[in-house]
Amino acid sequence: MLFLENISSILLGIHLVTAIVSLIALLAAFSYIVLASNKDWKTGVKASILGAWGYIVTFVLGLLIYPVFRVKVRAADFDKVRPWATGIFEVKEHIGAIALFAAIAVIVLAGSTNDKSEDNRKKLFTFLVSTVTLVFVIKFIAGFVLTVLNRM
Amino acid sequence: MKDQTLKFISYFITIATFIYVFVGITGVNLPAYYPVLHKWSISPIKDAVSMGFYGRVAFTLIVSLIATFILTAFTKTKDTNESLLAGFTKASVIFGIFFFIGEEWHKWGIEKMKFDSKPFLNYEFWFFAVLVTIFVSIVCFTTGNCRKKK
Repeated sequence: MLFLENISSILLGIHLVTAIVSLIALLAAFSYIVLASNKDWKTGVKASILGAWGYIVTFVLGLLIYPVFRVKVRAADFDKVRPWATGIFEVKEHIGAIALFAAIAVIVLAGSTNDKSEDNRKKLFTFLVSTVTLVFVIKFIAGFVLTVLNRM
Repeated sequence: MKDQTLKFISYFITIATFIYVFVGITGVNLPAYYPVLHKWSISPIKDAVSMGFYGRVAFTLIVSLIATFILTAFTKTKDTNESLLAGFTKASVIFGIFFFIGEEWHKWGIEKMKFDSKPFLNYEFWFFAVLVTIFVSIVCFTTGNCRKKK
């Protein structure tokens, strides 16, 4: 039996739930900090912290279910029959790692970032939140597509 | 730079992204996990399904954190060009993301699907054109030149 194969369905379900919560938090943070004309830094930073932590938890859950996916889905099906699906997964995986570094940075910076912070800090924080949000949206859609393909 | 936390984070992201990209390009042998065999190995095991992602992420985090701590301590009392460092940070993230979209989709979405062909205006060209268009748009927007003036 593969690593955590017996609970992989449960982990996948939790992975989906944390992904949805993180996505909502990140989109909220993006709205408050990036899109809004009157930026609400207090609420935006709180949403960013929740979104960034949610991202990391979702990432770790993905790591735990990866062995089962790697063997039962990717090696058994995608690599042989639908390599483009492996391409989607590989892109999702690697841009996700880069966004992980950004998510860690969001958490470190969030504690002391507010509307009174210097411009450099606010600009970098905005960029990092935007990056994590955009990458997460791409990963969420990619994950959905891969799940549908796996069921077909 | 007065904001040491900002400097630390900027160095961390820039270095981590560089390491994550170049550890693959340069072919560093990192431990890979073989899920069917339930073992880790640095030397490749023939005909076995392998997972290099764990080793790559762990190696990147460890080395980049060490390098960042050393660099931040070394530059603690020195003046830092804040704009340049911020630019490096943003550019490295954008470059890293585009690198993997380009590399992985070329390998799995074009080569493995046998869409690669010899003419100049082939699938690879149009994929490249899309990526360049998106990249240039991002550069334009992030430098404030393409936004609507309020």
